[in-house]
Parts: sequence; C-alpha cells; structure tokens
Amino acid sequence: MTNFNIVFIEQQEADLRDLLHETKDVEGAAYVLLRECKITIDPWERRSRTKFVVREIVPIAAEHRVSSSGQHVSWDTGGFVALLQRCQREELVLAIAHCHPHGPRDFSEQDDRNEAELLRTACNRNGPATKLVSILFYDDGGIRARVWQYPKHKEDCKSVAVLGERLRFHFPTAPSPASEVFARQVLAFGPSLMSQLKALRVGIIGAGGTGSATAMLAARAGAAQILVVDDDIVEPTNLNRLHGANQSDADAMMSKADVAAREIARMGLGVRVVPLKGWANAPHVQDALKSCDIIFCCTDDNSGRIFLNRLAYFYFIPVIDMGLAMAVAKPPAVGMADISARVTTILPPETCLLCRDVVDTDLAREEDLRRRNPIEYDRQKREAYVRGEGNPNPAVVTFTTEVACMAVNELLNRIVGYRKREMGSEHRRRFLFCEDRATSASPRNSCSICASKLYWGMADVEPFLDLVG
Amino acid sequence: MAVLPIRDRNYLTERGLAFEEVDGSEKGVIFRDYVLPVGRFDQAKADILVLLPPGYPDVRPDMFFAMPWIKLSRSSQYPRAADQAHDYQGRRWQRWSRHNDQWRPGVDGIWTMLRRIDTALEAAA
Ligand SMILES: [Zn+2]
Ligand SMILES: [Zn+2]
Repeated sequence: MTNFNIVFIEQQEADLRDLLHETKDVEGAAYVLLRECKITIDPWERRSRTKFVVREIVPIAAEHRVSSSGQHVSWDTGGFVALLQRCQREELVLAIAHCHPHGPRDFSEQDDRNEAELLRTACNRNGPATKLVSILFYDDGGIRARVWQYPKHKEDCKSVAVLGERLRFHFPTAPSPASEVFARQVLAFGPSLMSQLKALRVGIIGAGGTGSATAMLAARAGAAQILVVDDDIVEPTNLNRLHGANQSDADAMMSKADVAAREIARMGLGVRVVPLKGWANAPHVQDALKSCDIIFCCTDDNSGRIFLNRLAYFYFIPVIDMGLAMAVAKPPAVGMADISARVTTILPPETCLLCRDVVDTDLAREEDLRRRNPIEYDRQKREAYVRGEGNPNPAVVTFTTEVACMAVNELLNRIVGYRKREMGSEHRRRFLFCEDRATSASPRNSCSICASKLYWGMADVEPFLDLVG
Repeated sequence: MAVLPIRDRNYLTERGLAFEEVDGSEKGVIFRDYVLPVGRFDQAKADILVLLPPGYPDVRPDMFFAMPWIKLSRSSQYPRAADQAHDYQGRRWQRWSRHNDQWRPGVDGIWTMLRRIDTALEAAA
C-alpha cells in the first residue's frame, strides 16, 4: 500500500485547465509529466509516501484526437507511446488528464477500462513497475487523481495541491467539521480554512525567537501536523524571547525543537508535532523536509537558506522566509539605526532568495566550514580568508514575535485570501517609520534556480537539489 | 555517485574535458593532466583540483590546487601565493590562493572556475 499526492504550481494548473476546457461542454484531455518525490518515512504518518511533482503539461496533438463529446474523449495512443519513451529516459511518470464538464465528480466505468488499457501499454513498454497517473477535473472546479500500478491496482491520491498566490488543496473526501475550539476563527474565515490547515504539513526551520513564536501561532491557528527543526539547545540568554521555554529547560540543556514540541503538545489541540534536532541540510532532516507542504524559514543560518531556496523550486514547497534586522546606531549617534521585518514567500515563478540578496553565500561557506572542519576554519580565520562571527545581534521578543505573526498571516492569506489586494511575494515592515510595503525583485539574468525552468518540479535528483552536500 | 551539479557535468562533457568527481567528506573535482600554458612552467601538464564546498554552486569554490607542484620556468620559483600545501585524498597538493568575490550564485558554475584557473595560470607565467 502506497500513499500518493500531486503538486502543481498555479500556472501549470491554469495551462492544463485551458487545454481540457478548450471546447465548451466537451471533454478534453492532455498529458502531464510528473517527477517523483519519494519520502522514506513521512514524519506524521510514519510510513512511506510518494509526492508527484508536475514537471510539464503536454497537449495531445490534433492528429491524435479521435473523438470527443460531453460524455467521452478518445485519442489514439501514438503520442502516448512516444511520451513513454521519454518518461523512461528522463525518469518521469506519465499522467493523463481529462475533464468531466457535466459531472460526475468521479471516474467513470469507461475511465476505468481506458486507463487499465493504457496501464497495460505502459507496462509492456517500460516494465511492470511503471506507474500511470490519471487526473480528473470535474465541473465545480475540483480535481482528483489516482495512481495505477500493475496489473490493475488503482489508488486515489490523498490530495491534489495547486500552489501559488493562493494555496489550494483538493481532497477526495469531504472534510470533517472543525473543532469548536476554532469556532471564533471560523467566524472570521469560514470552515474551509480549518480543513486546509488541518491537512497541511507545516515545517518550521529554526525554533529560536521567530521560530518558537511561529510554531505556537501555527498550532493555535489550526495547523495539525507540525515539524520543528533546530540544532540548538535552550540557553539562559534565549529566555527573553523563546516562547514556552523556561529556566529549567536551559538548566537541562533541552533542545529548542523539543521545547517547542512540548509546548504545542500541552495546548491539547490535537496537533501531531515532530521535533528534529539537526541542521536543515542534514540527511536525516531532508526526508522530513520533502514531506512538508509548506515551510517557515525562521533561521539566521545562510547555508540552511540556500538549501530551502532550492527545495521550493525542486519540490514546489512554498517557503515563507522571514528576517528581522535590528541595528544599533554607530556612536556618536544613539538609539536604533534600523528595526525592520521581512517576510518573503518563494515558490515558482517568484524570484528566489539568492536573486533577492537575502542570503550571504560567503557566510554560508564559513558557517559550514566552522561546523565541519573547525581546525581549517581557524586556519582560514588567521589567514583572514573568513570573516568570523561578529557580535550577537540585538533581539527583542515583541519584534521577533511580530515577524512570526506576519509570516503566519501570510499563510492564512494564501489559503483564504483576506487581503484586499495582492501584496506580491515580499512584505517589509519598517518599525522606525510605522511603514509597511510590498517589495519586489527580478531574477538575476539566467539564474538557474528562478529565471530558468531547469529545476522547477525536478523533485528527486542526484546529487540532492543538484547541490554539493 | 554524482557529485557535480547537472549543468557542470553537461558543460564538461560537451567540452570533452576529462574530470573525476571525488565523493568524500570533502568533495571535489580533479582535472587530470590539465594542459598548462606552453613553456612558462616547469611542467607541461598537471592535475588540477577544485574543492567543492557544501552549497556549491550557490556557494563559491575558493582556491584551486595543483599536483605535481608547479614552478615558474624563468625563476624556478613558486608563483605568488602558491607555496602552501593542502592534503587531499592522500596527496599533498600545491595550494593556489586565488580568491573570487565576483561569484554570482545561481549563474556561475564550473566554467567560471575553469576560466579563473586559466587566468591565474596565465597571470602567474
Ligand atoms: Zn472520464
Ligand atoms: Zn534566482
């Protein structure tokens, strides 16, 4: 028994919908090429799972179309076989998509027969392990999908996600009613927010000032599956801003991830929370990150950001990255020179964090060197090849928490769309001027991550994220 | 086991340049018998090593390394900032301290590094 999901980005889904609904009231069909994201153990379900990430939409050539009506669509399989060849070469999974302009909201018996036949063709061509995916768009805008495997096994996908300015998860079954705990939140945003949040797997990278706040807020907002990743332990100097941490945690050298998980469990909201100690790019963390539907990046770690930046494009996992700048004025000036917060959401087709210059790749190099080879790090520091750590940055709980609020609100907005106008993918708050603004950035010319589609939906590849690990 | 990113591998394959990926705790790529500028060094060819830091190619590679050690033919001396050793894969490499602040993450790759190596070799000679 396997366990499947499909992920689109908005533009792909729109392109596919256009192809399927080209002729009004008539069933349309198209091919979709998928890449696999194989999750060894989903941290919440404790079993393996495969996420299919949409790589490309392929129209059915006019000469291959045989006939179509409001009740059926048929095409000859010439193009199908050619695509099977490509799938084998490029490690893609082939999907067929069609629509039911007048219902039903489910696959028909005719679909069953056709797809079983296509699976037979696919397995004959590419071997018995070949999977075939079928995606159905039905009349009220819903999407469902299923996976066929040799000889005639078919299994519903648990969800089909369409991600972009809005995040939409389509489920084959009706959601269960929201717990009364959330009654007043339902008054604000309705019950569908609750069912979406409940199904969402939320990763929180970093459980410090912003991360501990993000974790508490996400849980209280109704996220029901949360992963908290941090390598650090609680220290007395953190207690001014770590939500839920206390002196005994510092004394016991508790890990920040464990403390966040404990506090969420104590809320009694039925959240399944998984703490992981480690860096974002540690192998044991990778599988858990791939499992997430959305990730909050709450770390100052540059190498972690480099990693999550790519993850968003390879796996279509939206990364809500946050930063807080607090700078004390240089003498003789006094007071604060800057207090500003930034929340950036990255996901194709948005501009990546590298092109936005929010990652210091030289610092990332130094952070990694310090972790892996402290002797070489010290040598390079003596030779002045690395800058070395500076003084700790100022931190104030109200500001770290406010960034977390901005970030979780970004998630809520992407699910329910409460904002009156689009704010784009980056939002800055300048506390010294009581000013909020949306900021934008263009990709660097030929950035392989965000300016070209090279990596979009590439999912599993060797080396992981096409990056030296 | 692939170490280099896809674009790097494609570039080197297209250029027909032999390369060896080293997958250890410290990852790297070695160009065997890399042809040096004619008549300027005491060697015609050398193995050139580029260490690939975690996060490469978003993170820049730094120096490069030669084996055997290369001296200038005119002075019989090591080129500037190329007299330190670096142990890697059981060999003692000649470290060429040539740094680069111009790396463009998301854009640059092994082709950028090779260009820098060629420039450094030319400038040394
Ligand atoms: Zn049908
Ligand atoms: Zn970019």
